[in-house]
Amino acid sequence: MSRGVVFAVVKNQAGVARAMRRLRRMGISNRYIELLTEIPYPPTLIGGEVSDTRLPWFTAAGLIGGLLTGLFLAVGTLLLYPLIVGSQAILSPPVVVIVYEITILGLVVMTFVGFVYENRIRRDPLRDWVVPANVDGHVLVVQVPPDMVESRVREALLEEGARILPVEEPERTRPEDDALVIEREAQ
Amino acid sequence: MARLPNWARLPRYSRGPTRGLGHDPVPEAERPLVRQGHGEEFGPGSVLEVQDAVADGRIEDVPPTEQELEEMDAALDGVVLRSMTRIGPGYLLLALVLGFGTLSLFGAWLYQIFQGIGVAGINRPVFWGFYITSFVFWIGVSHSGTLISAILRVLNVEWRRPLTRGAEAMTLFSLMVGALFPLIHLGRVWKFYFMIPYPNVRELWPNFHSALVWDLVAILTYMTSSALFLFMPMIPDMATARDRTTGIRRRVYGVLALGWRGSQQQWHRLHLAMKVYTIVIIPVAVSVHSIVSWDFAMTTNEGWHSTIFAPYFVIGAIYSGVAALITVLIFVRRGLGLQEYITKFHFDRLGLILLAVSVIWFYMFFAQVLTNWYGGNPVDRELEELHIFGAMAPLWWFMVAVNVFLPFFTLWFKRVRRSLPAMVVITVLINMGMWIERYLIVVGSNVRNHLPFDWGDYTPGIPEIIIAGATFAMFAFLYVALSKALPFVSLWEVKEGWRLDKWRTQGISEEETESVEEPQPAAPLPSTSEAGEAAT
Repeated sequence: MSRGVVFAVVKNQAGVARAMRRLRRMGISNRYIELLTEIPYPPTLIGGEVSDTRLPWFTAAGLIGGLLTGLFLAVGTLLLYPLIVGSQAILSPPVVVIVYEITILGLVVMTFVGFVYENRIRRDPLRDWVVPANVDGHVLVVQVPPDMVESRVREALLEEGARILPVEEPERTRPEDDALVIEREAQ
Repeated sequence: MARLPNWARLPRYSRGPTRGLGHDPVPEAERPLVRQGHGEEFGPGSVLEVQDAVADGRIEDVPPTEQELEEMDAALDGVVLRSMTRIGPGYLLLALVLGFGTLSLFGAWLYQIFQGIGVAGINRPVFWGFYITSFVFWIGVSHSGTLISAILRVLNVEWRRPLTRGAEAMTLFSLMVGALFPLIHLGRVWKFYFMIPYPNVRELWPNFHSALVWDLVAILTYMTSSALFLFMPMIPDMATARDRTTGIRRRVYGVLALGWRGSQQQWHRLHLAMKVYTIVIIPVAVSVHSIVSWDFAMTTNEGWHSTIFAPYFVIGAIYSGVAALITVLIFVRRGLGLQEYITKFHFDRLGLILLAVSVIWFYMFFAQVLTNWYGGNPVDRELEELHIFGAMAPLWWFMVAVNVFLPFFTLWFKRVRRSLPAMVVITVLINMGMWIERYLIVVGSNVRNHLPFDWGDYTPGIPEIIIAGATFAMFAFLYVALSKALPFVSLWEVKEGWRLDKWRTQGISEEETESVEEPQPAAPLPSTSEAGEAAT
């Protein structure tokens, strides 16, 4: 049983535009639709920028965390454990090099952590559905809103030339999704 | 005006093995470039003639159809994924030879560890020899892959698309090779942990004022950034590989794909992350080679203590890196059968970049030599005389010949830049010259240092020669081994480039856009469990 989700395959970008337009007219917003493609599509083709991401926060956290770590290592340790050598300052400007490199390291690593978090860990109801691989076209995953009948969505998409796929439960599919499924079931 | 068939000019970077061929490219000879009866004829392999003709307005630019794009996508997937899965006897033999070369490196290193650093030729007054020369060389080679890729991305240069993956991989592999040398040079490699900052009972921390500690941190940052810069845009291609392979490969690519589905949100995040990396990696790359140069410039040795050293090293690194990139791409193109995607057009453009960089490098080199010479410091003079007229003169003149005159008198010519054998010879010679340049800098200022009573000579030991030579085998081995694991052309970026090219030349029709305004949601999005309960 599909449990309120419709998988539709559309052939090309014109098909995507037609289907999206129809779904919008039915009152289904972007939040309920996920378009899966092999290449990124310009926002104009899909009705606006998709901007729901916390990635910049991770990047900013990495920047600040890296800066603090760099300052601790390059300045803090020198002050906490001073190495007194005649005619040389305990602390001098060249430590900027270390602070800079570690700041960048923090930024780079945390951006990646944020990306993994958003793709793998962050809860997203539409992501729980596993799309069959190698379908010939672009896949639209539509979460049918509670106030709408699923068959209406199917019919509308069929009228726009889409092909409806059977919905595959996540439990039966790829092993790499197991962790996600187990986590969802536990909740 | 002649009309080109769509597929003939399609990707600016290739002719594309399209035409109803499923996944098998049609031999070049069977693909005429112009429709019958349209007058103008182009022979096989004349992609550049076609591009020139389009630019001159002699033939019409016809964008591809949706159907042709899909055929090209399938062909690209076929070529790249097939190159990852087919292992022939030639490949095995090459991997075996290079693997043996790599083993010889570790064998020689083990011998040195057991016998002591005395088996190497480094001794007073030359404490930095082949190892540090190779270190500087490989860090230099690493410089260009990521830097070129990032700069081309920032400038949105379309022809970069099939090249970036190979360039980024070159950075990572050469960094892996280069980072070995400080360890090898340590002699007592187990003392390496002295460099790592950690709380310890001796209350001793690394000296963060030391340029050698800067090196460690900079290389760590650069290696991490380069690895992620290579990996992030590979994630969608890992998902493609996951969906088209079976068994253990599918499981491995599944893990590496990080749950990629190709949703527009994921694309948005990827673009955002790549924007961050692209902007950040450029100053990181510049800082790394600047810091390598400061290993030298922070001393008071003649020939090293120079304010120009950082930019001089950076431009030298870009120079040797671009040359290495061209060499590597020529072999990768041939070895993985990517002739349709990495074309002579790319080598023409890279050749122009190489020419420009060679001129800038010459300017820096000349400024350095002139300043040393004109300053009149006796040790500086002695050092320059050693280079130009003394025992090092054959090396110095060879370096000048291949790094200054060779590119200048060859790369101006389009015919040379598009001749792959010529480009292999030129770029290999340039890198030989760049290795020698590093040798002259590192060893020269040691044998003629600022204490004349301590002048001497240097002869490398056998382990040094083996290790320095075997690093080339190791670099090639990493490429050969991982070419069967990683897609060496960025599939999605090339496909995206084709679409963008089409949209740019043809425009986006109203039919293809979604212009209805976003409706306000009537109710909050239910969780999956709620939806499931409702359905059951």
